[in-house]
Amino acid sequence: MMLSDLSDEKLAELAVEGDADAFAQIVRRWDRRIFALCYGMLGREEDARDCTQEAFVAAYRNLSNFRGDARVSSWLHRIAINQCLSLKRRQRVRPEDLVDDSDPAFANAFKADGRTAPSILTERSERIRVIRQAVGALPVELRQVVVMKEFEEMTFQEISETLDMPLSTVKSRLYNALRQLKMRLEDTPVEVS
Amino acid sequence: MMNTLRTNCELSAADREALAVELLYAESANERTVQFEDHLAECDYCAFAFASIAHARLDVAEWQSVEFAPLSTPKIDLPLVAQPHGFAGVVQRFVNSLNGLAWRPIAAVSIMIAAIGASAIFLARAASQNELALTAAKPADARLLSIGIPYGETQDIEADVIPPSVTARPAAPAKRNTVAAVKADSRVKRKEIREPLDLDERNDIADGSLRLSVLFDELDAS
Repeated sequence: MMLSDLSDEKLAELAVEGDADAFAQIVRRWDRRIFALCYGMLGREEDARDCTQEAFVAAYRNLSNFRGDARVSSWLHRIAINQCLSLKRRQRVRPEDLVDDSDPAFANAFKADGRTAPSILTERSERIRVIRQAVGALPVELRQVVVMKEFEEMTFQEISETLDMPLSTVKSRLYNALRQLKMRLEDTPVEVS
Repeated sequence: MMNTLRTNCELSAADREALAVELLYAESANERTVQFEDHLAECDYCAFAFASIAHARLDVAEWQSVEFAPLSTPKIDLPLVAQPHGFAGVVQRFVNSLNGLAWRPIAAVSIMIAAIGASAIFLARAASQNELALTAAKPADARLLSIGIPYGETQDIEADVIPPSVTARPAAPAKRNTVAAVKADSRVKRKEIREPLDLDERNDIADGSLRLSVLFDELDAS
């Protein structure tokens, strides 16, 4: 049987026994989602890349702590969230300061394509900056649900299992996150210079 | 603001939140979400709440599609030294394997087998410690099989003494407390030896051997 056919939990079991290829398969399966989670949580490409790398290395180094009855997705998400929080603590950056227009992702996203009017690009970039700032200001427990839904495109059920919380709590947190976001966005009008 | 709206909506906050996000993400569509969709047309409060989260969702989705979606996935470099090799690696893998669930039934069965084996050995030893095995050393050409005599007991010993040309093999099963040999030759001479052996002291082990030897001497002489 190919490694790609095995479940996450079986791959983790092999990895615990020392099979590096099995862990590499887990990485291939989850790297995009964990990157999305880190990006949504941190709002900066460079930080998200670092955090994703650190999360997988931390997972690899702590394979012996992986409980056989746990879900790999929950385990990886928990590690990634902890890495994000740890990075933020190290940077001692307030949520409002997460926005950084020098971020390559930010700059590339709003490069003039020759067809869109510069004023529209500017307005759009400003709106994205405000959205990013608003998401970054959400409490962690609300932010991670929004990010898992919008960036990782997970179902309610997947989020519930990954965060090990009732389905009703997931829906409630998502609702409240979006509602708070809407209020923050209303309070922060887009300013176009 | 939403909380300034007056409503006579009968939906609980929990139901409203759950139905709103279910409808927003078109997940788990069922009769309730269809009813909620109809309800939005009549209830301003719920309609406003739904519109608010819908706008917020569109904003986040825009951020995701504009900034994140075009990004390439980072290549993850794993440390080469994370897993030890050689003996340390074997030990590490063994320890790691104990973290799984499979070892528990195996360990339980192993412990049961070990316990049964240990019990059997203990019982066998206990039994053998109550017996004194005597093997005739003399005469050298006579073959006398071992016997077992419990400590603290006095036993009469019967022995078949086999001529030098005869090879003996154990009788199966040998009678307890009897020196036995199988006739391999019709010329076997049968001699019955009756000599009480008092083996109530450990020192009597040697004494018993001597006394047997004396008996054999007597037999030879006869």
